[in-house]
Amino acid sequence: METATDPRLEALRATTERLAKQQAALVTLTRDRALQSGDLQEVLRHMTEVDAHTLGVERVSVWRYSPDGSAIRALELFELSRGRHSSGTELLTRDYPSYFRALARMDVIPADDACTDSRTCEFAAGYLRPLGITSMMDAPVHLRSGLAGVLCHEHVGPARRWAPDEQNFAVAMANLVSLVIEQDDHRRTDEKLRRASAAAESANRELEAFSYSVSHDLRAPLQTMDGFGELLLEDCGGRLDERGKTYIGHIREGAQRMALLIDRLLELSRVGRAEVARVEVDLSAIARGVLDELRAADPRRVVEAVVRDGVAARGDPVLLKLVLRNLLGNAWKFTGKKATARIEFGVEDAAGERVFFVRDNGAGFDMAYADKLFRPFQRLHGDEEFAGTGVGLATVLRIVHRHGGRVWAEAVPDRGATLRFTLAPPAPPAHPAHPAHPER
Amino acid sequence: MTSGGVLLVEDKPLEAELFLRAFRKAGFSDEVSLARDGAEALSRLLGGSAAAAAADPVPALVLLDLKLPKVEGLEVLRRLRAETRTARVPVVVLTASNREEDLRQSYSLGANGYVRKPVDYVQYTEAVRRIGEFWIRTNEPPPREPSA
Repeated sequence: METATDPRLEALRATTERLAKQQAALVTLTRDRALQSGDLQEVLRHMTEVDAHTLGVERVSVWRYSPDGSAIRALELFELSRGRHSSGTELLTRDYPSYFRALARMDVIPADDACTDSRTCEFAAGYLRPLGITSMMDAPVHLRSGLAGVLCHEHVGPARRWAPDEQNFAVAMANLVSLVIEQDDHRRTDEKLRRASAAAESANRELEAFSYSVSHDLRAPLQTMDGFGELLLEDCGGRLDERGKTYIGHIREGAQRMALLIDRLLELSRVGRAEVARVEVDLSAIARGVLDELRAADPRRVVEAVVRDGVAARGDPVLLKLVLRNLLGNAWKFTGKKATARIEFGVEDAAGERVFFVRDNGAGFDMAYADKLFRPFQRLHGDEEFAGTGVGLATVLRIVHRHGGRVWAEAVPDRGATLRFTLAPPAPPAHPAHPAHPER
Repeated sequence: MTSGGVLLVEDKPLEAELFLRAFRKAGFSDEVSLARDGAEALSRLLGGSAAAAAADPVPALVLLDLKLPKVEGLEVLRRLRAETRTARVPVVVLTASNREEDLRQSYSLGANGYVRKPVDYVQYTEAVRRIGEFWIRTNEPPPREPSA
């Protein structure tokens, strides 16, 4: 009895052969180094070729959805008989609603008779018949973000039945395509990030060069102005009347004020770039030190200063000193016209958040202008009233932000101001009422 | 003590004039020589020949600006420290900037001091007086190195 002619055995052998071939193709592809590092186009060319040869299909193509999902575009199409690669064809999804609905639902669409199959017949007149396509087998390409494309097998010639193993192979290939596309997306994102960080670095270098030039070059002419103003007074003072001497005083004041402004600006720019250390900082001790400095510089003032003991925070000691110097310096300045000046530094608990504050009973300000307070060069008081550069609170804002905190002010004109700040992002509530990521 | 005087490395003539005036006003009669850029400072201090170097005493103090034409101040400092003859000569950086980076590099390269020029000339004169008071009147200079 001839067993070899048994059609069932024949079918089994054919299946086994196909499986071996499919397996070999998958192994070859997964070992392909280009799959990991090469460019997407090259990888897809290789994959479509292997796919077409393995299944013996005339046309194998990879399509991807446009970002808004309104169209799909052929990334790669391989035609077996001509050994030809092409790409770029676009189809509008709204023209093939049944097909795209099926694609979203199924692992694979095996259409033995593509022109009559309800899932693929939308293509019959415009696409299948002109190209002589009889059978189709399409597998969706899913990315983490969802359905992203499709891997198409289009058979030309007498219609064929897609065997289960061939359908499995199509799904495996589609999975491989999704891996490759995902990797390519990652690489592009990485590349974008790299470029952005290189641009930031170059901008930083430029800023550094700028600040170098400002620190060194902008001060020298001011020194010359101030120096020769003084020498003019010393050498030629006898020939100047009081008015002349007053004018020289104005020139020197202008030069010194501009020097101060340059310093504050440099400080502001430095604060934006400096690395922020995270150590335990004794804010009470810093506040006392700053108040001592203020007292030493202006010993005639009588100020009642209250510093709460043991206020500590994690942060950058140099930058935090700058914060307190600015805030306490402001408090000192704006209480200058009060008979009984009072300045307070402390911390309070607001809904579990530690809020530091500097409070004074000075000139205050109109809350209507509160939004101008932290912008550089914005001042709420004229120089006649209170001198200043208008950069101090901008510096405070930047330092506080760099610590992940916030700063805000409350004031009543003539009654005083309270500047509050935090030094860490608010902690998320321990037991949220509405979890952001519900258990599935 | 034979003072080799002061070498001021400063590219701006008006700044140099202001220094000299402040220096005299503070009561110092020591000689002040001027180098207008980094290259001139190096040739003054390191000279060409050993004989020239031996004849030209090392100054008691070098006052060094950082931003200089031709050779930058920090490079001048680095080269001075690399030579036996000038390895220990007191160098005080006298400059407009107080950038952290300038301070760090100056001290790393072996500056003995760093003074930021105040814009207010009264304060500037006071700073010059203090520098001279210490580095010329108070400080014992390093012993002379035998010439190589």
